[in-house]
Amino acid sequence: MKRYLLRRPIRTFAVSAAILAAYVAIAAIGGSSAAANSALRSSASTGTGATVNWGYYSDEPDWDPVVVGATSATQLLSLIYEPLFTLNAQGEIEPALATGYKYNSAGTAVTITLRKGLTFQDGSPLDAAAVAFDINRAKTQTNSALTADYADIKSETVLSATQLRLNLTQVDYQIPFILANRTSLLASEKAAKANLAGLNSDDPVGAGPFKLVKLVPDSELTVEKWSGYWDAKDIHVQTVNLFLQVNPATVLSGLQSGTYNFVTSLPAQDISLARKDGLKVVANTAAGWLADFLSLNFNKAPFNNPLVVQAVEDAINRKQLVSQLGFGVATASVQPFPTTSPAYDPSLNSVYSYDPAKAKQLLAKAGYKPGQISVPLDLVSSLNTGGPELIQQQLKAVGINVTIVPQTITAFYAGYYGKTDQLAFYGYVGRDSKVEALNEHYGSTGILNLSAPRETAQFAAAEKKLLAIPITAAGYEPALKNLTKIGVETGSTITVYTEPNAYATTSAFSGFPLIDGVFRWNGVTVK
Amino acid sequence: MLRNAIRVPSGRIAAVLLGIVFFLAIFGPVLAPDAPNTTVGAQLQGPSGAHLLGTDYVGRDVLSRMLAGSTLSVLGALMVVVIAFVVGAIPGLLSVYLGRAFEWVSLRVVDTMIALPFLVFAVAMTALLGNGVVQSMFAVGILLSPVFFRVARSSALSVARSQYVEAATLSGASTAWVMRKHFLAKVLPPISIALSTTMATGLVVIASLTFLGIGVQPPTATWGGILAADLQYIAIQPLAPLVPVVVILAAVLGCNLFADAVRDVSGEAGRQLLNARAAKKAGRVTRVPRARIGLRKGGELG
Repeated sequence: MKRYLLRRPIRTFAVSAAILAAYVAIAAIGGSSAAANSALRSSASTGTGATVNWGYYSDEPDWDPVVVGATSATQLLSLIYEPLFTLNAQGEIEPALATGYKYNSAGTAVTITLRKGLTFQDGSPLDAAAVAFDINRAKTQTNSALTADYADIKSETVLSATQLRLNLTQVDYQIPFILANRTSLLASEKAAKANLAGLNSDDPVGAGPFKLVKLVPDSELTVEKWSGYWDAKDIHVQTVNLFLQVNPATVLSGLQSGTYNFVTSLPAQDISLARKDGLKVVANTAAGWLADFLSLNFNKAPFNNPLVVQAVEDAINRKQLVSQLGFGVATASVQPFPTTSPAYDPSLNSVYSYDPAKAKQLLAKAGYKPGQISVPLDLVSSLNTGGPELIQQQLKAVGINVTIVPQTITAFYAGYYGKTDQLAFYGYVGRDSKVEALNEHYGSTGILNLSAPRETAQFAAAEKKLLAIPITAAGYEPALKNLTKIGVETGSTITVYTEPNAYATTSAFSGFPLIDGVFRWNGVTVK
Repeated sequence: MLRNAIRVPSGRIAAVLLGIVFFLAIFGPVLAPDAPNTTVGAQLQGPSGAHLLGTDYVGRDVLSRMLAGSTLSVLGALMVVVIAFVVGAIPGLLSVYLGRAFEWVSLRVVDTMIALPFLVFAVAMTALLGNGVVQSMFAVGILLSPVFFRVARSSALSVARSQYVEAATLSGASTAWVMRKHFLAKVLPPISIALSTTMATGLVVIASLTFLGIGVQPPTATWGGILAADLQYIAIQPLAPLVPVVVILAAVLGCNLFADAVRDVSGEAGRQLLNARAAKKAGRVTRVPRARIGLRKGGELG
């Protein structure tokens, strides 16, 4: 009888013990699986005809470049869509669909010249009229994420099939950057007119190197090389299978096992492990980066008090954040750019320092007793909470109580873009136009400016001055750095650190050209 | 019943496991060697003399977080059990007595609730009511209540149709008296089993919800939350998830063994089992080693 009574518990224990033992065994051998998996990894075939299996951490519900809000999605959209211009490793304008641009003498109009004989993937012509249509769509479409980017374009004049003049509202020499990569990925006019919703949801049509074969929303996308691409001879990958919403905790094992041969947004903790395992890792801010920052709402108490804002600045220990969470790849930063960006101003590094004693004094001077300030810190629940949790500790140490409020991305956007949050933690990947990036943080219409429409007169004046300087002129970069300095000193974004947006491939990959935030497939080979 | 339950081996094992779990739930936060929400060292360190279970992704002491997280983990599961019991068991009993209209409506409601997916409902509820421990436990409790409804109703149905209940009713006994005297004794054992299995489910669901960022918010520690965080860094510390896994598993096992023990000692079979054990203990039963009973084809035993 006793044996009968014990039979079930013993069985349960035995099964549990077996599972645990198996787990321990797997965990123990997990780290040394490189050699065993090396044969599996190079599943892609050689040269033309190669297949890329791409593991991507997030979902992408929108595929119309005009609608897509996240700049990080440029990496995905660049499979199907092609921009007018792109950038080189130095951040300079390079031809893509357009071969060049020319400003009028006053800087109030710019003429774009397109390549001849271009078409979209549906066979419709990609001419000046189609470009004008797309720019107008970006300016006027209700759900456009690009309206603010094109605010300085007053109208378009089609000069010929390959020439388009953009008439500007003010002198603005930044327009070529707006027409590069993210904001100028062109979608087919024909497809947009036929089914605008379909273009966005499941039938994207562009003029990029690959054409859609299959799109399963929330899950995967398959594209194949498009022979009509203007630089098709330089595309050596035949098929790209994109797997969406891959768990970041599994990307490394996915690469090791051969499930993927290309993984983007590699978690910082996996970078050194991937390298040890013989994988090719690109963790270079020149190829892509992230900046994490606190957004304060200057229109809401207690951050409408400059003393409290200064106290927060002094309470943040960026060095601890980087050493504690950065896995050796993050860099403490007070500005929303990495050191590799032309907008990075090194003079700002000496302005801010960690000084909790001063922070306490400032709070006392502002009339707040320790613990009297309690604010919610809104953030996206899917993001790593390590940074916010450490910041919470740092602010508590000076007497500011912070409650972390993770939210779904939809709920977060409602409060963040709606400017109703008091305090938020967020990140971004930069913009092709550095002026646009600064505008979004510190400008009156900036989506990352939690205090918008607040914009200081100093910032507005410096921006106007910068827009009047041609991007190739000697005075451009100093003026850009000056705008960064003014933005950081007067704005409501408190940047804490930057880190490379790393990606990893198997050794079979030749590597992508070094372009900030973009994967150009031209010339990429997979052996 | 509880006293009887710990007379069987599975009950004793359950008592030990659950005793440890409740001890941790009560005294865990006091026993924590470090402040559970404060960084005390470098991140993701392995076990050492200073930090017996190592440190987590922010450099906090894992042992302290496990101990401090016990209270909320267990309390959350208890909250789920209480809500599920109140929302499920009472209507389940009443559905037998309050007439056909109530019976029909309650059965349809329960059928609908059973069809709702667990985590999706919890996510929707927290989106509606806000993301918090009480809201998420409320959602989970409601979704688990059909278990109690069905157990209570089926037990009540079997008793309601028995002759002794009819006799009591015909003798003029009040419904309250009948329920107290006859129903509770019959209904309580299966409900006790449901309570312990629901407690186990509650522990796992809380872990799952915390894993999804619902319910308990950082930096508050729970076993599920610690497990979720550990899994993000499994490539660096592959053994780290073992600690919360073992604790959750032990608690769930304790609940399930307790349910087994209650089932085994309940009813007529349970009484026979306990009598046999008592007889054996008193020396009235002798075990015959290697005894064989032969039976020819077509023969009968008995």
